[in-house]
Amino acid sequence: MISVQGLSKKYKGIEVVNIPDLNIEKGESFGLVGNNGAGKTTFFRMILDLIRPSEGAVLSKGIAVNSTEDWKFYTGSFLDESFLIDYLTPEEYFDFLASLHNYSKGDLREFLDQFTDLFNDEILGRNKYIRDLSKGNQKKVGIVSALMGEPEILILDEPFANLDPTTQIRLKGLLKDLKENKQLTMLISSHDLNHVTEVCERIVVLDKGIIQEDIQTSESTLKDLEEYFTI
Amino acid sequence: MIKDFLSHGFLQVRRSPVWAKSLITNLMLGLFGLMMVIYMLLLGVFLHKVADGLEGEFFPGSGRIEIITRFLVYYFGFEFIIRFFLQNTPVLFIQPYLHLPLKKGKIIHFMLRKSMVSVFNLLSLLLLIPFGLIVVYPEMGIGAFFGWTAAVFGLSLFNHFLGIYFKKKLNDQPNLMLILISVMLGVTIVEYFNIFEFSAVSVWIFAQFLEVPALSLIPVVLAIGFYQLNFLYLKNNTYPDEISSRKASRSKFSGDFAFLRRFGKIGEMVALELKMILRHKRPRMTLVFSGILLLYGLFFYTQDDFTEMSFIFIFAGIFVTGAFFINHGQFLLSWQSGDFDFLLTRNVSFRQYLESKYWLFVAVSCIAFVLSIGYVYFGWKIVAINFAACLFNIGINIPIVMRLSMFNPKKIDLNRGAAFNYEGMGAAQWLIGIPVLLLPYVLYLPFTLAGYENYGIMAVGVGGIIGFAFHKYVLGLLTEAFIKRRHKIAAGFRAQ
Repeated sequence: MISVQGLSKKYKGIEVVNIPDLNIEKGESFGLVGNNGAGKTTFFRMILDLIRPSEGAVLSKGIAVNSTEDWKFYTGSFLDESFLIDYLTPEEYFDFLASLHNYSKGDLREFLDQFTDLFNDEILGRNKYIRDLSKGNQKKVGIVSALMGEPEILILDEPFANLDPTTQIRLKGLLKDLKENKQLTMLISSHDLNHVTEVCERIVVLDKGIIQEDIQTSESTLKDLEEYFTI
Repeated sequence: MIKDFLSHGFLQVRRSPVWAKSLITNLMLGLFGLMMVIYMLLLGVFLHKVADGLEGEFFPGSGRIEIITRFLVYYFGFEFIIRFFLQNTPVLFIQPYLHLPLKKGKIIHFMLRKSMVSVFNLLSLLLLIPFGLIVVYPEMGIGAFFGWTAAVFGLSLFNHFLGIYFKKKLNDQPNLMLILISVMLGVTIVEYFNIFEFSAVSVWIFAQFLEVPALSLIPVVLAIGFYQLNFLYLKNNTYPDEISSRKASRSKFSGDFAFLRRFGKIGEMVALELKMILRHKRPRMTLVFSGILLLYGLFFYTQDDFTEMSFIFIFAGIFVTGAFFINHGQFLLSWQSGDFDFLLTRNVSFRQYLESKYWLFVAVSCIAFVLSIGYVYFGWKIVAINFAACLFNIGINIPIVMRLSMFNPKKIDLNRGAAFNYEGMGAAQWLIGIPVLLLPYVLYLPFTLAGYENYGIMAVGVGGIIGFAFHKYVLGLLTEAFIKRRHKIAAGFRAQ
């Protein structure tokens, strides 16, 4: 689904990402872990053509993401608040996205109804602009909007950060459900080893932009990872 | 789709937190724009009169069209520079759309087309089309008028897209302003000494447009060409981190004011403030502006009319020696709005915080006075007045400004540009000038009206000295006021 070829990003001569070769299969749930500055977000941004790689390319369905824009139509993503239009209310933002995905009013209602639990009455009908929501609620808006249009690929950066425990658990359930029932290819980065090992079947450890480990999740993965990060 | 973009653009402006807060300044800017439009239209309608006037004075025997077209190259050059500095394409507008299932081209086309709706594009039309109707059409016929209109229209849009393109390309060029100014200066000098007459070229070009109206499509085609160039450039460069390279602070300033350390915590705080000033555009602008105001005295001292009215020199003295604390001090706390909570929670006492501000203002006022000694060229009296004004500033005005600035300070985002940025402006800021400029006259006028002007000047200075003698007590009062209001101020800064 996604393959990376000789990808490298340098800022002022310092290499922050260097991934010679990486393939993510369809339906795979891929977890990216690493300390601050490991290059996780930069890597995701390059997958979304938000940063121009210094060398190499990211291919989505075999086509380089910076040569066409086809990937946009089957990729849902949320990395940070700059993905939101913060002077709209959540309703207006969803309406706008619905028009991009050719959802009817009914489709949109049906779609949002799935997330009533997740929203917990804090998002819709509050008459607040997105910028006035708390970080956690902004994240909910972003994650839900990434799921709109039945994407084949879902890319989330730190989806669990800033969320309350209840929502973290609900989100985990949601992601697992999507993986099992919709064959969604998921790319998730996280600092939380617990969550990421629960949701993802493949975990890649990034450090200083270089892949250190690439493991299929098993019983012992969490322990292995904890050992790796205990220095 | 376009409808959505338009509505988003409108909502962005309408719902901007700055909009709501500074409705009045927005109205003022709107009025200013309207005034510009009206002035340009009036000037346009009477441009033929201007041409007649110039003919009599400077260019006897030239026709109206020739005279006006002489200046057009300068007009469009000037317009280009104004556009370059004031006009901005909101490239960051597109950031939240980049990951959505939308073609980049569509967003960029929208952005570029929307940018055409701008007062700047109206100005040259308002100025020059009436002239076309009143002079060109009767003198040379409908074809020439058509050529004139198309040329003006084309050149205006050409300027527009050229401006955007250059701005994108050259933004990282240091000293750009200097380069542009020297180019303008060079052109003017070359023209002035008749080395090469750009105005003659201008006349010739417009003459072609009028004679062969079809040629006036050239600027239109050029405008379209630059539109395409912009489009291609933006399409290949819509990477947020590259576009917003300006946001990454370019400040290379890294001095650490080690000499201030010997003054203890207060010295450290002053050093912090200086770094804040030098590393951000807006406070740096106020500093530069204060430097420019040092020259403000020239405006007064060189006018013969004012030598009779020497009372106005007190006014000048206050400004010359106090420009910095008036400009910077009115936003006393707003400068720290980003890290105000930090200030409240660290082990710096509030008194030390305010003291550091006070001493910074005192030091800068003294420096300004020392620099202003150069005005001795206009007589010793000026130096005496400036000295008295400086003392008055130190003793009385600085504490007053500090106190007034604590009324409802507004948040300032240091990372935003300086020009036309009214963030942090509140009613208190407008009121600050009044006591600062009027109070010295309370001491000065009684003596002067009684015929003892020198004593009046002395009274101003003595008033300052007395104020300074009590500065510890005054700082205590300021600290109390600050402590009382600090929660409200902090809440104001935290709110968006």
